[in-house]
Amino acid sequence: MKGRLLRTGTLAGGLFVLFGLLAVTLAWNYPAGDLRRMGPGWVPVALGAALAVLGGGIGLAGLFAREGAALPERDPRPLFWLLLGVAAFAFLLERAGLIAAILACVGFARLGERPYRPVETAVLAAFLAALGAGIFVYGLGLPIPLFGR
Amino acid sequence: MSELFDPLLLGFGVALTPVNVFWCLAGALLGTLIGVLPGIGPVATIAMLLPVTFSLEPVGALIMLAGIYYGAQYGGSTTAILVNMPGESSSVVTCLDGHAMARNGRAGAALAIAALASFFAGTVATLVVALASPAMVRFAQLFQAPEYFSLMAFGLVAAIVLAHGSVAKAVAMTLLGLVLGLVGTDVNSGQLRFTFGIPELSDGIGFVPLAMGLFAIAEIAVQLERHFVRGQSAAIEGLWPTRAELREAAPAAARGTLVGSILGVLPGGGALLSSFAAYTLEKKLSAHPERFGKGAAAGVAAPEAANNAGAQTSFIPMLTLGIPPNAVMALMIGAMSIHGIVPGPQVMTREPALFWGLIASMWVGNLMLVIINLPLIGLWVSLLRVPYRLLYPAILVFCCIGVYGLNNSTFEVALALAFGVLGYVFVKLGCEPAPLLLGFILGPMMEENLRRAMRISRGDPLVFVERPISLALLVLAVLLLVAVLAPSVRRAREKAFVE
Repeated sequence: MKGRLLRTGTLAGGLFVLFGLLAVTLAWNYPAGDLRRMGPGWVPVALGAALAVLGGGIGLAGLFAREGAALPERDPRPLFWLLLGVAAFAFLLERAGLIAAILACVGFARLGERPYRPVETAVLAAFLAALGAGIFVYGLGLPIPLFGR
Repeated sequence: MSELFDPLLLGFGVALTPVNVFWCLAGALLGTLIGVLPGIGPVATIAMLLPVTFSLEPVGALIMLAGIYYGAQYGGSTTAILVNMPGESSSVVTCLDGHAMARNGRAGAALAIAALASFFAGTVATLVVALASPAMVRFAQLFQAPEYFSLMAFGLVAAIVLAHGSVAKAVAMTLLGLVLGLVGTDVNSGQLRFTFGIPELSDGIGFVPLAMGLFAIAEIAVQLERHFVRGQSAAIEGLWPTRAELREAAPAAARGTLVGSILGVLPGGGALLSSFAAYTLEKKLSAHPERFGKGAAAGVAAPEAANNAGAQTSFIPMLTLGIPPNAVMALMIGAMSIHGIVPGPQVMTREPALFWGLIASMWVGNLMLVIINLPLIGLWVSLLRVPYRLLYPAILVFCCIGVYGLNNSTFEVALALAFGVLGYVFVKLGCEPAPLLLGFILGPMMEENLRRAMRISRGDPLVFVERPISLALLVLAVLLLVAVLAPSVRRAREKAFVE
């Protein structure tokens, strides 16, 4: 049974049902109107319902089919470090400025691939910080703070 | 004839001003530079570089973005031929025969054939765009809300049919995209939808963070997971194809151009489908189909011509109807809106300099690609030697700056992060993100036209089948859907994508 649950079809179907039901639940309270004057709720409820029904079909087909594609190998560590890098960028940009944001982003994201090589990474981070500041702040004049406000 | 040539002359007058030639060159160079990098396709490249064009004149900005598009597309083919690594999906087929030619010691010839076929296709497709656009603009005068709705419905069906893998999953991804497109303030009533009380979401989900998450962050994560090792680049000695290679490639390039020009106009089609279809056609027509995959010159010329032609004709629906047939065109529409131009049939008459300048710049851009790619090939090869562990942090940083620079919003960077997770999940579950993107783009437009059509018809849904153009589009959509679900076609389609 566990093998059947871990098929891509079953999982994808489940995910679609979840999104569909979420859409229907949220949109239920928006005024639906009628066909003559459709309110803001009409289309989202219809789409959400269609998504949930179709997702149910995909999920059941995945669950009960004789064979189906199993979930492929996955190693979420690189993704984790990438996300941490992006999060650090978003967090630091307006607080500490572009330079710090880029340094942190590269420092974290670079952990996603071995060998890590601290010196090389530091040089890369510094180079990208200089490049980013040079192109976007000095070259294009985008209003991005270099060192925080 | 002057009906065609006068506007084209006006266009070349705009495109050939030194400033615009410079932006075209800069775009083509930057696009090639990033397109050569693995895993970063035209969508992410354009999204990343969108802020660069903010400070330009509208014409210059669009010309540069178009240049980036062709450059990114072309850069993908270079890596496909030299290291058997498609820089993006539309050059997957080029790998087959392009890299086989390189292994046979004909790398230079393969690159030259790809460049010349692309240039030929680009020249023809520029003329096609110039000829077809005014006709489409006249045709678009007949379009009202029901026609727009039916056209977009047809577009979504076409995108589903053309997606890889399971049809059911593609439909679900489209529906999910449509729902995501509705996030934000409803234009008609002011009602906030799916915003979870987050004020930043009241303007809706941005296209750039969505595309960055799904296409850049998720893609890098998948590449890193594979611990991917780059192949050795094939050596290049001499760029000139032999007479026999040219004789084989020339008709293939012509057929590829035709296939690409037609398929490029279809929603969801564009460059990707064009190159697949052209390759399959050549293999069917060839007297020696067994040579395909082993270095047939026709197998390089046809898909390269097709993807370039398709890339260009996909501008037709965007320029004339204001409807983007694919993600790249959605970004172009976004860029137009940033510069205060409302896309639609009126652009040709109200902004003739921009309209024809952009079309003329397509040809200029193609000429530049030949110049950039043949003599400078050594530069791109050396770029391929830079290890991925140094490249991906750079790509990530530029993505982050690109997303932030669009609206100066760190919230959008966080949004890109969330879509990165979702994109990774989709890859693992075998769900193609392309239909989601198209649904997301067309969702708000479709809802608006549906509601407008229903208001005009006083709630009578028959309005969609009573108007002939709308009826024809819906019938086409249904036929397409039935065709793809029919068992025989389904098998053929699966086979085509496996190849």
